[in-house]
Amino acid sequence: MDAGTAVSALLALLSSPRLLGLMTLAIATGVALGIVPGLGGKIALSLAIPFVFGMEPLEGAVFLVALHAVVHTGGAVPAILLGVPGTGPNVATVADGHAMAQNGEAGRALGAALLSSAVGGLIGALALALTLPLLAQLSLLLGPPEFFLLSILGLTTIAALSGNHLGKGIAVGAFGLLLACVGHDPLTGEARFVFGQLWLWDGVDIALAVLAFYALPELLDLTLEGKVSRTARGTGPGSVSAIAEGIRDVLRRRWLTLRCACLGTGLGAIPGVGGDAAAWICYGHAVQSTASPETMGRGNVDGVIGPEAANNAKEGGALIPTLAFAVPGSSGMAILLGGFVMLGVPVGPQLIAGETDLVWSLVWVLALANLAAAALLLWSAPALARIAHIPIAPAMPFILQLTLLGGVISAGTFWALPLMIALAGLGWLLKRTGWPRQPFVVGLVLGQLTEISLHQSLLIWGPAFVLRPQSLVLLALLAVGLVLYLRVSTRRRASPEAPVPAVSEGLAALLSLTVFSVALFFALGFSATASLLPALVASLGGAIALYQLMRFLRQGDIHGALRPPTVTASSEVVWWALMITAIGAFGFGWGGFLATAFVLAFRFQVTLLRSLTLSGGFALLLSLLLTRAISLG
Amino acid sequence: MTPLRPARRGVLWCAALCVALVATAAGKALAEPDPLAFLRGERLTYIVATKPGGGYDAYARLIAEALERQLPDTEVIVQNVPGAGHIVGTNRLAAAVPDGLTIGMFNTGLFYAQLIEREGVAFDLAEMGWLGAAAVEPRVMIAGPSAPKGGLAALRATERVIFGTKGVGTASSAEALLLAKALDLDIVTVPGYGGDRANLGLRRGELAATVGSWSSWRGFVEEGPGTLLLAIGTSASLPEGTPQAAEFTQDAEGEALVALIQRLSRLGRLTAAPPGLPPERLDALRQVWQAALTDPAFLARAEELRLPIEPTPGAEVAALARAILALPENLKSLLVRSMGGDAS
Repeated sequence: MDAGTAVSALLALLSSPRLLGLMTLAIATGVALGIVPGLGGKIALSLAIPFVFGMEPLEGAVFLVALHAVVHTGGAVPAILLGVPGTGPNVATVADGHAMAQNGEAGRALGAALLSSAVGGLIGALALALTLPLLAQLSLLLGPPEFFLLSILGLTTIAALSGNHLGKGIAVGAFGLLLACVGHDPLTGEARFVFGQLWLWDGVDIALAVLAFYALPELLDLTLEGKVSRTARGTGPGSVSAIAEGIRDVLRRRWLTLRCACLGTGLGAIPGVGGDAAAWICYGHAVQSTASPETMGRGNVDGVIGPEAANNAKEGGALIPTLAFAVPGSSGMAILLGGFVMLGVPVGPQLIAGETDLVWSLVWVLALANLAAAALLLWSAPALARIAHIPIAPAMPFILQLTLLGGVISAGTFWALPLMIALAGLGWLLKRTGWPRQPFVVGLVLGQLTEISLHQSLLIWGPAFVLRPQSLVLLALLAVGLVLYLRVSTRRRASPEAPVPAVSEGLAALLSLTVFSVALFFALGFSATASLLPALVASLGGAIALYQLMRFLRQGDIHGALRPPTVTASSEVVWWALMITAIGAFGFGWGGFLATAFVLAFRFQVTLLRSLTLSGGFALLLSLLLTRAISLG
Repeated sequence: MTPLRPARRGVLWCAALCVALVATAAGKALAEPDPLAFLRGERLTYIVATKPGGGYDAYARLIAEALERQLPDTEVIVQNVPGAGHIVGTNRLAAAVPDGLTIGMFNTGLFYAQLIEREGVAFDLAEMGWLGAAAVEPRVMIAGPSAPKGGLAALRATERVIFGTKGVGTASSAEALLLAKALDLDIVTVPGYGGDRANLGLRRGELAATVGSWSSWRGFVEEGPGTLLLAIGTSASLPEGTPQAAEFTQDAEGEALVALIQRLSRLGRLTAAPPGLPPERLDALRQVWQAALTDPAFLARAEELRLPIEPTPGAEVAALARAILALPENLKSLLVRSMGGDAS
């Protein structure tokens, strides 16, 4: 690949009004879909693929890559402002980003997130450009033993993500691992935890689980509290100076930004690791390397920079195996690959050898789209930051519908609704009781990779697989990471005593114990191979839940159980239940329309005409999307 | 009256002829009702049993376009109904009203699913209204760079040859195990090598060989690292002189197993209507489908999208489907075992 091809590809891109137009459209759509909670990158691609069928290969590829590249840039906005992640990989940003917004530093967090996203995206594109010629050698170095060790490395971040609640964190992580076992087990062909439901055969969709476990509880709390955060101190929330402060943060922490961008690129390039895991691993790295670990999770800007640099960088990384070997680097890339097949874009060695100008166009698109998206959002950041300070409750019915729709589209069935509600209830309870929720995603994302790569390694090499030179290098890294973490955590131990467990705490422990016991009961019915992982994690999680329950019974505020919940909380839950029931019974079109109109008119006192118009228009849009793009069974 | 000039007389003759032709055509139309009347002005739904994107979706959308060209008064829409390895979409298709306004595409793995009576299967492929298969998908056995050199004979002489497969219970794994049985190979199947992961596994050397469709392994062979050991089924795209698995079978059981896979290889990118479709509508749809698949504009577009087309007509597909489903009991239990089920 020579520089001449690179330059001519850029010129061809910039001189074609059609390509530029498509790119602009893709960037605007991608950012918008990222900002709207519930509609992430995979959903964006799934919706776009039927529309690009029939386009020229270059046009279609440019559109899809630009669209997917910028979704996470947009996804940082609601993660910071509302605490509701726009997409899965933005979940890691919530902890510190939203805490900053609550401390009155929304602008600073946005500035930091957007610049680190842009830098991450550029590094990813650069990595793609530089490695393409050497790719064949590079990606042949890592096989199943290394994937297994990397996934263990990923699972150890659960410890870092649990803060002072290591036990609870491990229990929540175990729940994520358990959910990752749902579906047809590739090792034995057995169906695990599917209870005769066809739609569960393919497992629990990660996008659905993230939406239910994070986004819905946040939305519920937003409605309960009426508005989000109030300016507590510091500069004006959306002022240009606050945003500039965030930009300066990234420049000050340039090495962290660069390290996380490189780490994100590398992790993105490993098939099966994916964006969610990359963001969490980089959050873990930010925890290890920050100057003030005690403020992590309470508004430390490092906790925004790390995952945001990573989740844009991993796009470039994930494109490496996707383009070079037609092996998708992430689940989003698998959909992109499907789109490429439909466009007739050759992927694999054929592409790298024969279509260098197309590859370079994609590299440029990746770089330009990241810059443009960050610029667009920085320009509108002062206005966006104000969102955090206005009551958004009346928009809730719409956001709720989009979130549910996101889950339903990801899973491909309306049966996703009850699962989402159950997960959302659990997530809300954990949130209210201060259990760390982040380990859930780590477990869910890494569960399959851990299990399958361990079995592959054992089948092919036997237990000696850990002695491969590459594996030894990774083992050493793993040890260094653990030592670093232990150093950080002993420093942190100085934090205050755990408070007296409240009644909701006891309830959470009881519920967890029930879930883990039921899971263990079913897991013991599987064959030995199929039951190993689920039985192990269910026992571990169950033991921790039992300990928490005992602790509550011994020291907790049992009489608190008799106190009824507040009236506002219960009435708000009734409105929600009404909407969800209507959608479940009559679908997103009619059900959504009637319920939204009803809630707007009677809960928020919007005039009847306006309620009908707003909800009607919205319902029409959704049903159009559903009938033209996706069919649900 | 002046006699008509010859030229004018010619015009009149022509006009008379035209009137006569139109009248005959109209009479014929009145006598024989239009076989495609049930489609005119209606919407034809084409169910694809996968998520948007990927091979099946591409074939369905391409064929949908071609069907629309054949049926200018009919709107053809593609509906993705994914889930449970094509079972959800095919259940939906089988349950649709058999009026000719719903057709669907799914994979041949469903024949295995029906044969082993997999839970969740609510269709009978023997009863489907087959429109045809758009492609042939010969299966191939591919050896990677780390496999013992010397073709099939060398593989036979090796213990524990490592084969990458998608996972227990999938067609990919079942076909590897059935072939190993038919060809007397000692193999270990390692799951988790779905899609193109087997490609990387072979390149890295941890896998010795794999079984898959020629269309997905062709690039790997043509580019160098892969060796085409043998094929099951034929296609114009296979290199000349490729050995067929049938040449290496050891006994009657082996022959029957190879014959099963060979029949399935004829059924790439299947399209069917629900069971119970009136025969005249099925005939009409088969003709439209056949015309769509031989339309030069369609073939040119398929070439552009790199989607190989080698159609098999509906009647032939129906016969093959019946033959596949009539698998003898002893082979059926072998299939059940190789798909991870209970061997009883």
